[in-house]
This record gives sequence, structure tokens and C-alpha cells, in this order.
Amino acid sequence: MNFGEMKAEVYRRLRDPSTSTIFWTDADVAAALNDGYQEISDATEWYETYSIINLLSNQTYYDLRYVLSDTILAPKVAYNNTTSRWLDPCNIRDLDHSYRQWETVTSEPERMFLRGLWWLGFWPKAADDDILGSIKFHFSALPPALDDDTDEPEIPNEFQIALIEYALFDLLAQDRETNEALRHWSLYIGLEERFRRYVGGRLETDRVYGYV
Amino acid sequence: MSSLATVRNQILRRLGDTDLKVWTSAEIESYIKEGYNELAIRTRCFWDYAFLEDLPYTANYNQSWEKPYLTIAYDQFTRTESWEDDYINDGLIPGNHTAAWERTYLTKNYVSALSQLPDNLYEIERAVWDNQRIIPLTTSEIEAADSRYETTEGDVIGYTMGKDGLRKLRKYHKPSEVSDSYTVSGNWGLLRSPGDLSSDTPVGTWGVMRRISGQQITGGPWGIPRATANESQNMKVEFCRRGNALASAASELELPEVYVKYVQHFAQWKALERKGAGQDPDLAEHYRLRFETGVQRIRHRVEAVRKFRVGRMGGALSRGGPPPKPRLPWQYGKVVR
Repeated sequence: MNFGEMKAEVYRRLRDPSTSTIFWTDADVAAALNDGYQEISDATEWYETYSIINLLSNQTYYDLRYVLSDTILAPKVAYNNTTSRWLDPCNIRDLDHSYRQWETVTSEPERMFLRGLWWLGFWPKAADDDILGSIKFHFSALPPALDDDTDEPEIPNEFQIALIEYALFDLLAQDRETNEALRHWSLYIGLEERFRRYVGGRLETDRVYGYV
Repeated sequence: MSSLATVRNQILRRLGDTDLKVWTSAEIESYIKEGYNELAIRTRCFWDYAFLEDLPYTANYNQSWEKPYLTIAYDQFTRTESWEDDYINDGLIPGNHTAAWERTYLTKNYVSALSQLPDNLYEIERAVWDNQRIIPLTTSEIEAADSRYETTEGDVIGYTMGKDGLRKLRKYHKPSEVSDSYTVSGNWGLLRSPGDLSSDTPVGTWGVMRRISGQQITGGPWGIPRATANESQNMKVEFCRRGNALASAASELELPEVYVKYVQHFAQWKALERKGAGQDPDLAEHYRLRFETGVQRIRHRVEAVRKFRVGRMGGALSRGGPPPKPRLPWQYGKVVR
């Protein structure tokens, strides 16, 4: 279902003919659908991508909002392109217990840790060399917003209805049709939960064998 | 990043009150600020650090009211010699010079064990001195260990925040030496040459420096290096803090869009909960729950890397239910060659 079809479906369910809208504007409906797309992406972290972080000499921490973009949701795994090894996630407590002055060590990064929500740290920090390596960093993010009528959300077809339910909730809540809005919200939450299980469980089992 | 005015207008649109018939702009803005602080405090999402440098106590004003009038304000001046400490109980130490450049010429350095914490600090996460973690101590622990802890000098091995005021940190031991620091030419303006701080060759031939090797920039995602500190023989505190102050309608929330939405939910909750016109308890409860969900999501992400000992993709859904049943080894009861 593309963006145009989704908008038409929302109008149909609101009984507001899309050809001559009476109450909600096209911008209202588009914003509500995009809000739903953002909400389900935020809740399930289904949109996964990666980016290359170029290492800077003598720098432990990298601001992910700046290095990547402010659509980042959560870091996943990272790969050192120079050593061809995956970085080991750790806590700074581990480092404090192992190396008293770990912040002064320079070499190829082997471990990573997060401070606050955006500050990604690498240990050891990159040395003061002419040639500095890079880290291939995988993370979950918000997908690009839907804009053209032909845009199609990347989530599987069977879950796209969640966006429509969310949009109905959002628009009816703005109209203070609270009971009806909350009914659509509960339908949306059910779909969101199913999608979360679909995203989170995809690597764990198959239908025939389950857990062997 | 969204400005206070943008978020306020979005909330008013969602509340259906763009004409300000029910809620005023000031009321919505106060809810936004409250939600912004609440989010920062409950999730500890803003991480930052600051140096509490072991430098001679420079003092150039006598009364606190004078501070706002100074171009360069150091600390408050009450006495010049340590013998005067017994007669004045303001917790300050002697100041024997009035400008930083005079430090080079001093024969006696008074380095304070007490440091003022940054105004936006909420909670200290970790403190280091000379790049080594130092331990937090209660006053009873430190009193038992060393009854003269306020004056005993040496390397800083711990700190306490027990009795000197809410935003004061006391180093233990009292620093015996002035910390290493960079010598920068001039007292004001932007850093233009890295020569004072690093042997790096600058990239480009004009403009201001954007990054200096070994100098970490924290705070917002943009900007240029302004304050430089040498980490060796020096104290650094890493802390979680509040977001930037929302002083005007144009002030931007220091949060990516996806998290601004949570602040929006908080404000909608408060606006709809308020008694009087516009009250809607059911919808208010809905937005309260969404704010709480947002807080949980951020907390989960702050902890994400630590938990991801094994690479895991997707929404990081923890598997519910009991652990798998125990099984006998695969070769149990079989002949293994």
C-alpha cells in the first residue's frame, strides 16, 4: 500500500471523502500517517542501517547525533575495518577495573561503550597517525518520512494497517472523539506488538525445528 | 532540532486550540520545560564532563553581586594568607592574585580542595584524576580515615560531597600541586593556532579551529573548541545534566525529533489533566502512559551497548518465559568414535 492509498483509506474510514475533504486537510492526514510511521519505528526499531565512522586521532568519544544523524535510535554492533574484528560492547566499569588509565591508551579500537544517549566511546582511542581507520557502525534509526503519494513504507504489507489505525487515533484525538480515538489506539498497539515480535524474533527460530 | 515555539505550536494544534482560547502560550511552554527537565532527570540522557582544575585560586571580586559586572570573573576574594582561615568561616581559601596570568609569578600557590560544580549538573557518573578513577567517599568514611582531611595535601584519590553545600565537591587529598595546564597566548577570543596545545599540522590555511587532537568537545553537536584542559594531573567529572535552558521561544530543545515527541506527550498530558475547560482525563492518561513508555525506551537505549554482549538486531526484545529446558549432552548413551 503506498502513501496515497493509505491517505485514501484513512479518509474512507473517517467517512470524509478524499476528493473534497470537509474536516481534515491532506496535510493533517499525511502528518498523522508519518507520525504513526515514526511511532512504530521507534517502538520496534525495525529500520536497520549502518554508517562509516572515520576515526579521529586521540578522540575517545563521538557524538552520534553529529557523526550519523539525529534519526538514530539505538546502536547495534560495530566492526573495525582495519583489524577486521567486531568491537566488543562493554561498560566503562570493566575498563576501570582492568586498566587504571585506560583513557590514555592508543591503538586500534577493540571495545565500544555508550555514555548518555549519544556519546559513543571507543577503546583504545585511535593513535595519532597519518592514516586513521574507520568503524562500520550498525544502528537502528527512523526511516525516511513518506512524502510522495507513490512512497511505500518499508514495513511488511500485513503491518501497514498499523499506520492507518494510528492516523485514525491521532486525528480523532485532535477532534476530541476520545473513546473512538482510544479504540483505534488499542488496535494500533496490538499491531505494533505483533510487529515487534516479528522484528525481534526473526533470528531465533524456524517453524519446523524451533529450539533444538 | 525543534525550537520551543515549534513544539508549543504543535501541541496547541493537537489540542485544537491554536487561537489560545483555553490554554495560553506561557502555560504550554511551562509544561514543555517541565517535561524536558523530567525527561533529562529520569533518563540521564544528557552526558557531559567538566574539569575541576587544580589551579591556584584566582580571586577578583569581593561580593557576589559584583560578579555579573565583570568581563572575566574568577572567584570571590576574602583573604590573602592561610593564617586568616581561622578567622573567616566562609569556606573559601586565600586568593593572592587577581588574574590568571599572574600564576606564573606566584611563590605560594593556594589550590582549593573545594570546587564549584557546573550549574546544570544533575548527578556525577564518574570522576577521574590524572586519568584514574577516584572514589566517592562519605564524610564519616573520610573523617575516620584522616581527621585532617581538609588540609592534608597529596594526590587526589577521592572526593566527597557531604558537608560543604549542595553544589560543592571536596577533593581528597587537597591538591598539593598545580595541575598541568596549557599555556595559551592571550586571555580572550577564539583559539586560532593549535601550536599551544598540539603538534598537529592544521588542515587548511584560514578560519577557526574545529577540532584539536586530544581535546574532546562535549555539549551540543555543533561548535568549536573553547575551553581547553590538560587531563594529566587534573580532575575531571563525568556527569549527567539537564538539557540546555529554554530561555526564549527560539531556544532549541537539545533533543532529536523522536525524543521531542515525548516532551510533547508530557505537555499534552498536563494540559489535558488540568481542571476546567479542555479537561479530558482519559486522553490525559493516554499521554501520561506514552510519556512513561518514552522514558522506558530511552533508559533501555542508554543501557543498550552494555547489554549487547552478543550482537542482537531488531527491537531488542528480551525473550519472555522460562529458560530452555535442560537437556542431556548430544552424545549421551551413544557410542562416540
